[in-house]
Amino acid sequence: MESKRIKNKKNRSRNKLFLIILSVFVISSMVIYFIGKYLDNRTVVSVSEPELEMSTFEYFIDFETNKFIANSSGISGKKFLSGKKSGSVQGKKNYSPSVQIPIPTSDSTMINDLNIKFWLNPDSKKINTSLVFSILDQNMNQIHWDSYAINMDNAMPDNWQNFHHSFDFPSNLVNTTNTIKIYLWNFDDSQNAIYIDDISISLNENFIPESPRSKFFDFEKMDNAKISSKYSLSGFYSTFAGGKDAFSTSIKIPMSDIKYENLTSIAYSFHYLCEKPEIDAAFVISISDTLGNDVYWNSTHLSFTDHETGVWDIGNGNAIIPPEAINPSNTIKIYLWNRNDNVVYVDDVYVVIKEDNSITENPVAYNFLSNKKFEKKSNHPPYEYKYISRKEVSQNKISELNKVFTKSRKYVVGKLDKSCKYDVIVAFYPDHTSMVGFSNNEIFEKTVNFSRDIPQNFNAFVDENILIISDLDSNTIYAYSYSPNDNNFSLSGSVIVSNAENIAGISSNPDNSLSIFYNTGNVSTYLPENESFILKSNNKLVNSEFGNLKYIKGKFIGNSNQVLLVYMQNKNDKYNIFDYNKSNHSWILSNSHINKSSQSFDKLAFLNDYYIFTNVIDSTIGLLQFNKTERFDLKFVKFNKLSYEIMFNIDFVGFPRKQNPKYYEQCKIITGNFFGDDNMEVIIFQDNYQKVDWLTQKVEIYSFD
Amino acid sequence: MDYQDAINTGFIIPSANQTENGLFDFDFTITNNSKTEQEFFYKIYYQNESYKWSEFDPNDSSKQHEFAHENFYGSWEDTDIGFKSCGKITSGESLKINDSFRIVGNPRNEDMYFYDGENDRWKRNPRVGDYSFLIVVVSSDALKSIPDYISNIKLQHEGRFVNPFFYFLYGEGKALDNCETNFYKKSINVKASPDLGNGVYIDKPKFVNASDEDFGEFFTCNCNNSEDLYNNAHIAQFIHYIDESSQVDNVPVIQDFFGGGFTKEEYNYLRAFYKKEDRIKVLPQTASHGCETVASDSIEDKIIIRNPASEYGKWQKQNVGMITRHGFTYGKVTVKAKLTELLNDDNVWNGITNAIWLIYQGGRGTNETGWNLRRPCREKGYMKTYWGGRFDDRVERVAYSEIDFEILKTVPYCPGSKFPPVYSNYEAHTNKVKDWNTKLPEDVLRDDPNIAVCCTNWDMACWEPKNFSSGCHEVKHDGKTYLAHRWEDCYRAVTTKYMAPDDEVFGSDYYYFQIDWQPDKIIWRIGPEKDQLYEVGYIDQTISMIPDNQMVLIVTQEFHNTGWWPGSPYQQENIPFPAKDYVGEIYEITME
Repeated sequence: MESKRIKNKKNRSRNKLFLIILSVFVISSMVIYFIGKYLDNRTVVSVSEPELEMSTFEYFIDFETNKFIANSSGISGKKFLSGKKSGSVQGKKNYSPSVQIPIPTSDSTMINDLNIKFWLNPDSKKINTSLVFSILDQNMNQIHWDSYAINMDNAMPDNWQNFHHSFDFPSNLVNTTNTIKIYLWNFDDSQNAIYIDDISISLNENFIPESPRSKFFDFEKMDNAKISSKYSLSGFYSTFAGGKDAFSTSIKIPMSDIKYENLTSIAYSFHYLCEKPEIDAAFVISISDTLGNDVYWNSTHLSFTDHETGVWDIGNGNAIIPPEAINPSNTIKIYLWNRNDNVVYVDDVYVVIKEDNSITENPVAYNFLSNKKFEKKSNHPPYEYKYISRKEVSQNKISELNKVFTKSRKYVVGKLDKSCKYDVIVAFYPDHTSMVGFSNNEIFEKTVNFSRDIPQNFNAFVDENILIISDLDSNTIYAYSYSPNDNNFSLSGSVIVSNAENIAGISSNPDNSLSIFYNTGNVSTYLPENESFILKSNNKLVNSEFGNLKYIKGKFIGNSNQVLLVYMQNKNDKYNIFDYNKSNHSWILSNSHINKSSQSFDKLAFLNDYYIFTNVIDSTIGLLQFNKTERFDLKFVKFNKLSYEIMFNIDFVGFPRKQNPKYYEQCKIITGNFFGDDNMEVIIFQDNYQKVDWLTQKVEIYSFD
Repeated sequence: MDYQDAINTGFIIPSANQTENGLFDFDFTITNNSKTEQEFFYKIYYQNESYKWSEFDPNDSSKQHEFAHENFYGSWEDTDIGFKSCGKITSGESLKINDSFRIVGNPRNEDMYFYDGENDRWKRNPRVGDYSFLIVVVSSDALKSIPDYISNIKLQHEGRFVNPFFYFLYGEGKALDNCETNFYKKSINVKASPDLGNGVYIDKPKFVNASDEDFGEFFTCNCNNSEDLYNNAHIAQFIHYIDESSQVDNVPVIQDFFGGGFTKEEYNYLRAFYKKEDRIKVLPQTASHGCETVASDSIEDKIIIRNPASEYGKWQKQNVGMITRHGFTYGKVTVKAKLTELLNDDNVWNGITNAIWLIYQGGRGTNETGWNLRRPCREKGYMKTYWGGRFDDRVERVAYSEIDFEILKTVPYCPGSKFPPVYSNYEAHTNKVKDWNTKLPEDVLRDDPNIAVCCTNWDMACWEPKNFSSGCHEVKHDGKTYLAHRWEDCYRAVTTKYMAPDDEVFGSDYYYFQIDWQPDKIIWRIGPEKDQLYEVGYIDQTISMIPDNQMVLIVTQEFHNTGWWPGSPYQQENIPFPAKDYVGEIYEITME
């Protein structure tokens, strides 16, 4: 009870201020409400990215990103107040995307109410919806529910209208383990949609600023001679221009403050009041360069001979901004130019920055409603799914396979034992080196020796039967061949290179030469001679930037080995396929591929990981493209003369219990022909960064049946 | 009931196959106990006793019950035959009368059931159940006191029919001198059971692709649109009306749902990581070819329906079903079926709604309306259309009626009482399993292996029932308490739910589903055997207008937009397309 009294006292002391704020707010909201009706054009640009002011417990949701958004399927690009997206709801008992914000504090004195301001744009005159505010506990059970009903039969279709509401926030639920959930719950059973955008949420009494993509100017805080308290629509002040060719105060917005790159137009509305009935004035939006010269000028002309005096009226317009006027050093100016002896006051100017409206709602991968006959678009989802099955192998030495991924410093895969048809893994541990492979469905592991100590700081490569160790300190590469008889890797030669750290891959070529591919795009080819290698050629194959280059070797097109380089150049993803030219010991762009680096909707991107794999359909070689940025995404890619083709997505079957490898937080993949048959296998190590009871660490082998 | 040619003539009891002359013979003896020779007259009436309103008003037995005229009663099918003469019988003499009759549709020969001059008796088929008979013998003097509308049941009195059973047993006819009534209660029991092996008729105009050249490529000898099957098939392929609002942006995955280890985790994974641009926008489809997804097995006398599997490029969630072709009013409609399982081993829902439902019967073609209207709604009127939204016009009478079993995965409670159901939040992040693999709420997990048997009556929001209401209200019946839910006052249906184990209802060899549609109530029952049915739903006339028009039975396996069932723990858009057909088999349908 004591605390309650204290709170009441505090509330009383705040009441006056609150009433002032409220009255200002209500008036401005009404103004914004009506202004919003005019701001129905699609918006184009952002002033700045939505910012979260966590310290003040204020949030702004504009649906441009999925941050704080759940159920994003209701995000629409059909209408938007700012940016390019809004939330939408259509049909009875349906919900808009929900805003879910973890409660930022457990201190109940920090949160009073939940104040929310948002814009709605209905398809029809009817709005029959509720804005729901609920609180979820840590198990996401709903522990509080409240709603703000909005029923209108006379709403303006296709216009943005502003609403605000204050919800009581139960103080006993102020806890960081709880989550706020806000959404529209629609009751209108017509098929007309309602769009919601630019939701401002505040958990305290200080109501929130406008959207970063929109600006509201009420001239309350301007220290300028052209400010008057004689008339005001909201607050106490307005600006004015009195007499012929007089100018009001200018609103100045540096273009650098907005996302000028996509700016195409500025929608605006303003309120004006005249003291005499004859008005001749222009509401101007101009853009000036650094020297103050106007590079763009646009106005809404107010020309009336018998306008009612002393009352506020509304004007609006939309300024299409030409590309040449867009420069970060330019300044947008907004002002009134009065052109007769009248005195015209301006207040409550509302500006919405608009972006290119050519981008509409996120398309689906395929719309069967508009195209009932499916036509596959190359390298564009949806892709077919094919499943690779877990291969049953003896678990006797599975720990040795596991160790490869968990304990080794490096590991490589290759057909190192000339007497065997299958690939093996060589894993380098701090104190020894192991060879791990499969024989008769059993995992074998044996320690292998090297004729020379493995350097402390090294990298390892395998091609054909040759194991390359590069000493990163001495910039020396050592070539080894394996002898199964004595279980020993013997040194066959070495050579000093320019920068061993930059080596992306090493190719053992048909003429016994070794080509060292650097992530700079260079390749050096050496021929063995005695126990050394003689440089035969040195070429720059591609111009990769910042060492962003990946090397993959395989029979991509035809029966000869080729090298595929996937790299970044001028921030673009590029790829080229090269053939080895024995005659001059160099690599040249492959004739079997056009090598235009043509990309599609889904790119052959440098950031993906690539592994050689066998295509189950025709037993040809292709690539596994692995990406875990958005989700576990494993695709099979083949090359053709002109480009590449994503053949299908890969998923897994046969895993124990519910442990699909794609669920794991961490996956390491190696591929190879570990069983000596026609197919290649994927060995995939799976683990989590944080313990997940039902996903235990494991390593498995998968292949197409 | 004999289905032979009933599609054209309506049911005739008995049929020519059931008695030698296709009639019920009856005889009785009249003795003239008077002192003078007299001419006597007689008439036979029949009435369905199982599904009738009381003949008299419960508050005043001298008045006819307000709905007693709806009872199915008749006499000789030529309604112009009033009382037949027995001839003159001298004093003290007896005379044995031999006559016959049969029970037919539209026994009052009401004009509303005529079409283009033809008496479509099938539009008011005889009801199933017990029939009583009333033989009335009167003297010529007494006959003069009997109103024409009793002698000729086609005629109305003050704008409505007078039930002769009321007239003679409770009304003015009871006090008539020289009027002998003999009432034979429950003398005949009538049942109907369509022959499921008798073929499937394809009502071609109902198909969108009817004009396609290859429309008939799946036709078989007992599934086609031939005249033979038109006349003889008891079942037709049902084609759903697809509401545009049921479109979903579906994950582009085709999954062997029951054999492929589709788990809650996989559902969560698809839900979390497949953004809109990864998805495929689809509407539930309907069959493009007749007989493609329905078959009649003439060996085992069953109907097979199957939601076809998808393949890459042909993603489909196709609604399938069968519909009976002969309408009934009231009856205990029992279906023995093994419809597709809904939950897999991990209790994830496959997105199918198994539905066994009754719907009002349509007329000839698509334009004939007005013959199958429900009784007037005297409070507010009915919502005019099924689809018209909350601001639809209200009208005194509508044809639309529907009684449903809809069995799917949704929450057990009324949405109103805990609405909106909340499921765990997720923020898809491949590096945080706990973020995307969220658990269902405890109260939903309690019913993890169960499916919701939703029992719905579409009353078109008529406010006449004394306890009509919206929201969630308890309904008690036979010691059970149901929660009847109606979204709002203008919502057209009221639903009760019952949670039942999927393994039992759809995992066993078969299960029984019964809609006991009575004039004043509807009781839904299910059970492993016909004699082991248990009640799962109850709605009566105190809360909802019970349909009184003629309906047909539909059995379907449908893909719903889960937006229709708020709280469903699995959203249709995150449920993969089927890699294998979802097969349902209907073994027996009885109306009793």
